[in-house]
Amino acid sequence: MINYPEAYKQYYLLRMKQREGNADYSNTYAAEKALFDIINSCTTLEAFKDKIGNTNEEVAMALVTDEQNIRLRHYEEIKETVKAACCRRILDKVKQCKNVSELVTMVNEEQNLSNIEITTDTIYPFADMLFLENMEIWEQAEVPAAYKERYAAYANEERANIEQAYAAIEKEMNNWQPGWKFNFEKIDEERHRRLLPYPNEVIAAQKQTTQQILNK
Amino acid sequence: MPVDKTIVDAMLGTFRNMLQDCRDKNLSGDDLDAMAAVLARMEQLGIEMDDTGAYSGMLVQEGLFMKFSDHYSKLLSVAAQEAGSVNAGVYDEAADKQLLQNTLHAYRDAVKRIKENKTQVKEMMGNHAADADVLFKDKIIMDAIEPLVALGESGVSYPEFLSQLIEKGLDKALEGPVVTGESLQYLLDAAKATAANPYSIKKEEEKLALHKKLAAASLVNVADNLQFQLGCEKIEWTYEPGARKWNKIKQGWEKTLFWLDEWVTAYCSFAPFIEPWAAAKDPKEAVKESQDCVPGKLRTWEKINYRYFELSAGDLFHHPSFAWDAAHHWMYWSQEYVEFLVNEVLPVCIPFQQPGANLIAVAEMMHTDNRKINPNIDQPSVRYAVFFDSYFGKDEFVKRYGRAEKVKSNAAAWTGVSF
Repeated sequence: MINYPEAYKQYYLLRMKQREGNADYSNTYAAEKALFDIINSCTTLEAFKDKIGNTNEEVAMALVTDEQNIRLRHYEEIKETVKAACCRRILDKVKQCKNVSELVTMVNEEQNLSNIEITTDTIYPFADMLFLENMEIWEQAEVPAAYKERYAAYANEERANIEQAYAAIEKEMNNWQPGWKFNFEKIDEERHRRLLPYPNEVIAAQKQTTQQILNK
Repeated sequence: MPVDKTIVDAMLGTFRNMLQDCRDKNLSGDDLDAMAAVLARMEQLGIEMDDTGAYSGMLVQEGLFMKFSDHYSKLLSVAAQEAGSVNAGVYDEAADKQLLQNTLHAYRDAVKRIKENKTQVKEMMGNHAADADVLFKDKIIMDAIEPLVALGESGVSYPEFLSQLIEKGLDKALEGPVVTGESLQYLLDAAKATAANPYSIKKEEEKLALHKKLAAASLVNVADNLQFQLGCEKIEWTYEPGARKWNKIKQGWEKTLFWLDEWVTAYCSFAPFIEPWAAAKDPKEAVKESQDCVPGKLRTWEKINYRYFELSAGDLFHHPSFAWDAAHHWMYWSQEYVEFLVNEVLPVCIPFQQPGANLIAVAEMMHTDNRKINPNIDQPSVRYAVFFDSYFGKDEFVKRYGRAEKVKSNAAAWTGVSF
């Protein structure tokens, strides 16, 4: 004859022990402990059912909180602010969720929003210096006078290429976020800046040249 | 005009099947209605819109994939709860057995779906169906699920079953095996065979090492998913700036070599009759432009690279990316030709100057003697074929993609870099 209350006590004890002493999962441990304390105080499953309330759901909320805190620390450490913002939003909203169903919907919605934010958090085509380099070569190359006019025309073609590249990215990004415009200030934000292997003065000059071409 | 039907079908096919599957199982309720409404919205947008990019953007903006999946999960969850509450309010042996059976059914269903997916993949792969056995790491998932099903069938109660899952670490095994050590080893071997740069190899080495470390810390040799995922992100984050700088400097010396070759070859007597000038409207004029203008372009390029990295045109060739490409046979030119270009042509490639007759003579001779091209230019492909065959079978690479043509060059093989 199986002693169900004892068997479930053992199960909830194991769940609690899994998180014991793990600072990363302190909320989950506390929620699991609350659950275990309830069943440990019951002699029948009926009594457990009466007392459990939403403690089981609170375990799910605590687990989401702990995992998002782990993610948040990671993204803060590597200064991935867009991804960190998603963790903060989820953490802000966890407590407002009345049940697991709402929790799952909220997390999915925030992750969907985050995916859009990550997609639109781009500094392309600035990151690709090719057009600017080509333009400089056509403009600055020391060549005989006979070629000057032709090279100036090539430089203008590169200017047009730059305008087209920025227009194309705006069109593409507007598919994901209506009203999206290229933001030059983003270039200096660390998550983007660290990927550009150029000195600050180069970035500043290229930014200025691009803005002049785009009249921005 | 609507979005191309084949694209809409590809994007919505899975969702249509999921909805139909729920209807076939006679599921009903608000969530099923909501799934149908979301799918109808996706179909409607496919008809109203004409641009594929705008269409997929709108699906994400409106959160339609997410909403559909959300209602689908809730529908299945409610159905599972209903199936498990035959004797609602009473917890006895019958209810316990029912709960256990529901859980085991879900696992068996998962095994079935994995097997079906693999079969579908194999069908799509046609003649190369055997590749799925190499790439599709379903065994490790089965290895995790099968003992679990066996445990459930051993006569234990539901709480005992759940307890043993934890004690034996099987709960973690179910969370973790999306990425396996085998698949990471495959990616590392592929990175080594490609040998694009040291970063691409280092990243895969560290991911595999991380996976091994996390798996070793687990009862059932399964890496913690979250730790592994974040660890991989950190590895990518760490190496990406270096990889980008590496590639940009590589672009610096590649373009420099390209122009040095163009310039000195433009002075060879046969220049108007070979590519790229022969293809020009007026080959002689095109040759003249190369002679007159390449030094100016090259020196502007040098200024750009100096501004970026404080490296002169000559310094670019001392960057490790150059030695790496030479050692891994990525170089198009032969060593003797590159040494000629860098040591002898580069110093005199100055605006409004010409190469000396001796340099032109050497360039003509190297061209005529067929000594300009790296004789081992096929080696990256050969190297990759060895890796490919080690996974997919002897000579499989050549059978599928053909043998890389051995270049006809009288140049000696690269032995090292000496600038």
